[in-house]
Amino acid sequence: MSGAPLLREEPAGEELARRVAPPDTDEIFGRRYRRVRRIGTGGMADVYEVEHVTLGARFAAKVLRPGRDAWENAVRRFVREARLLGKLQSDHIVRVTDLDGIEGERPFYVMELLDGQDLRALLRKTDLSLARAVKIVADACEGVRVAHAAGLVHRDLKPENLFVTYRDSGEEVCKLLDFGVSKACEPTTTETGALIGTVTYMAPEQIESAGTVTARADVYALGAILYETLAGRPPHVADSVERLLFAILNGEPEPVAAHRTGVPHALDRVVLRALARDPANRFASVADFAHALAPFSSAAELTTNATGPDREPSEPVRGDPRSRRGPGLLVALVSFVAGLIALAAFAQSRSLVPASSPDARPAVPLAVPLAASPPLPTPAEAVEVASASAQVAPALAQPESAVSPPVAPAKKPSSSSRPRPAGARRTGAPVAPSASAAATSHTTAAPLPKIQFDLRNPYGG
Amino acid sequence: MAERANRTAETTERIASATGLRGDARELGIFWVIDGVYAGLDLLRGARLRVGRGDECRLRLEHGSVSRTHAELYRQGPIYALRDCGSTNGTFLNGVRTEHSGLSAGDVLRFGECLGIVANLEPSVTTRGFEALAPELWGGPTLAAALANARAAARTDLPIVLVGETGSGKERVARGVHAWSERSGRFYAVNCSTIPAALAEAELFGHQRGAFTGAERARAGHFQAAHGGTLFLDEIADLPLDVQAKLLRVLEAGEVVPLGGTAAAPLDVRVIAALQEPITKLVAEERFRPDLYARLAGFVVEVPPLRDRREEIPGLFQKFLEKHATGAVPRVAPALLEWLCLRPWPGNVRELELMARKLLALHGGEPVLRPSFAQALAGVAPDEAMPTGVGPAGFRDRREHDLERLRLALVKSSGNVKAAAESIGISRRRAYRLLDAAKAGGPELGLDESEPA
Repeated sequence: MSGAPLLREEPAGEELARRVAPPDTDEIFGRRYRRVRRIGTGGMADVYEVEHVTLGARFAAKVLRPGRDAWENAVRRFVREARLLGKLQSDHIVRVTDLDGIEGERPFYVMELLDGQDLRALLRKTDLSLARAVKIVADACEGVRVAHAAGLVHRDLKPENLFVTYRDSGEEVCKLLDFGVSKACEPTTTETGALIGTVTYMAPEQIESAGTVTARADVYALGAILYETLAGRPPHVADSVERLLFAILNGEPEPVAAHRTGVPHALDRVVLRALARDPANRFASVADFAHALAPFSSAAELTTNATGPDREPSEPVRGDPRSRRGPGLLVALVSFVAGLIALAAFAQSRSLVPASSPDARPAVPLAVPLAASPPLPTPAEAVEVASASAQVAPALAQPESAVSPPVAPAKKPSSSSRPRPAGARRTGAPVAPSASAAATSHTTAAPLPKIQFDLRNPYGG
Repeated sequence: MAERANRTAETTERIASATGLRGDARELGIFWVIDGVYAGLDLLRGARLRVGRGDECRLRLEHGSVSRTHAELYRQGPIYALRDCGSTNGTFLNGVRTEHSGLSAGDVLRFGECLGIVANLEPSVTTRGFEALAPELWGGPTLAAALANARAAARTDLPIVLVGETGSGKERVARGVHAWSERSGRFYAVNCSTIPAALAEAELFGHQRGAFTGAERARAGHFQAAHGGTLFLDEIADLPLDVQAKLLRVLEAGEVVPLGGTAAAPLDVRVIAALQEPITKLVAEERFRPDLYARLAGFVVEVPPLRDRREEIPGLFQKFLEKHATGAVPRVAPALLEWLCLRPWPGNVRELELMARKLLALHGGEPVLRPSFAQALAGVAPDEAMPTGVGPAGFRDRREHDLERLRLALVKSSGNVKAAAESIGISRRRAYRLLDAAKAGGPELGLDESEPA
């Protein structure tokens, strides 16, 4: 990487100025981001991995492609999207850190570089376990909740917009990628497939009259995404866009259980309620939806599903070997649970799960949902609640679940709401005693929390 | 607030443009075919349109097989929905009896024995019926809209590229352009795929005596032959790349140098090239020179495949019957016409014409062409693709799905239920159960369901 020599040579004067703010070229955006490679391409913009020329840190830059019709309109939408994302502070919304080039030919905004893939790509690759699917959508709910609290309805949620990445602890986490605003200018008439991809997650009331859309439309979309993630097909399927719209407007989706075995009835009820045709019959808020999902992000996994690693073995684990730990840990936990059940046979004591100390004892991961549920404050609550550390603990403090888990673990312990270091929950498992230390040093070394690949950068040695 | 209104407009527009219901762009229409004859076009305008024989119906079908109020089309958000109103003879959507479904462009409807073909119409096209767009080029609004650019460019001497599937009528369109251009010379068609690669240059541009071994005398090429007129180069992608380079030079310079010659002769030729695949794809595969593409890309005209203009099928079929019938032209049973409209037609118009000839050969002088003939043909050519371009509509469950596959298989097996069931992997008993359950809809193709197994 080129950051290191800069520090060593300590250039001065013009040379330094040139290094600090090189002129824009094909390779340099906004005088400070050097293009590294293209990550993705969309209807109107390309996404590049970029390196900050002086920091050496890597980011992702979404660059509006020039030469479009209605350019000003496109730029306006683009800027709107960037500002929206920049305003929303959540662990479940991609963080936008910069916006530039608006006057020129190449407007771009900069976001954190995420290691992972969008949910669509993930679904194409593998079937997700129940708990993993529920956790991903619950994460997305949290991101949408923050948007709703800021008065924004997304309106265009779909698997492509949910990015599945990893925390520093190696735990999978889902983030909202964009706010759809720019999608509206993508060509549609010629791309029926793309259009079906958009319509599939659209709420009936949004189809019938786009003006009456409320937050419940996003509940529907998240419900449709969860349905597809679980069932392997969307709630409604048809041979044309029109008949898809017709089915959404008039049809009832089959229960998920019709397409997949081992789906608890209670989970099916939650999914179908999110998909209710009449918005009044849906969950009133994404927080309510997430709340109803909470029990299934752990218990369902442990009882009704084979819990082998569902990440393909060939899947590249980029940069950080610890991300490999996810499934391994899972297996370890499951066997651990089996042992614990045996243990519970002779020690049916509540004192087994006090777990109020932050350095969790082995019993804790059992009592806590395996995957952290997002905090569920009231919708009206302030936007800035979510921080990386706040994610784990509040799940413990959560009130009773709307739907009881199919196989209830011991009653949820009341726990200290004191934030735990990220990764603490994982490290509570006996199999990976050193993870906590690694994660911590890792976090401090990284200039940005989510740059997994970049962790082996020159600064870190 | 403005933002909200903005986004509302965006969503509405997105759906509307996809469904062809945007007021200012395309609109849905139904082409009616009654007793095998085109009976007019209705544009779908209004919240609720009744279909039937009664006076109160906006879409009135005067036919004995149609109930007084047979069905209704109503607007629901951005789409039109179709609902059967308890008709006696049923409402069929793409060959499957339906109670309630959404409507898409390209759908084939049947109310009793009346066919309705749904199409997306460009408002810019003035023609609403079918007509001779050029001598020997018969078509409706969809084809007319597709050829609007070619028509506009006809009077220039710019080269035109026609892209279309095999049998979609590219040569007829080229002849049409030649006619519209009013060039004095002749229309001269060359199929590049039939020219041996080694001889391509000599064939196209001519050669002098002794230009190569065996060139015993000078000979004019196709370009010289088309002088003053239009040269149609079919399958131009089959030309070797070096010949494509020479073709580019001829187009640039407007003159041609015969092989072995030195003097360039000025040339007045309008070139129309035809391709089966999108030219950009060919360029990407390095089968087509990018510089020649750049020279030709000015007017690329796509000739739509027959399945994208199904409304033309009944009329075209009738024309082919009239062209090839030796005696009286037989009538066509509505069920056969429906079957024809639903086929994917990979060979396009050419295949349809062939089908007309085959059916004429089989009907043995009977006054009505029936689906059974088509079944017999499907038996003769078992690998012929069965309708897949459009599937059944609305709510599909497994039973409906199997029934549809069974129906298609029955057509292939000439009504032999056992064979059909085996070919789609269901039991014979299930096949009979499905057919029994579907009896309400009647055997659409007149299949003999009592066939002993």
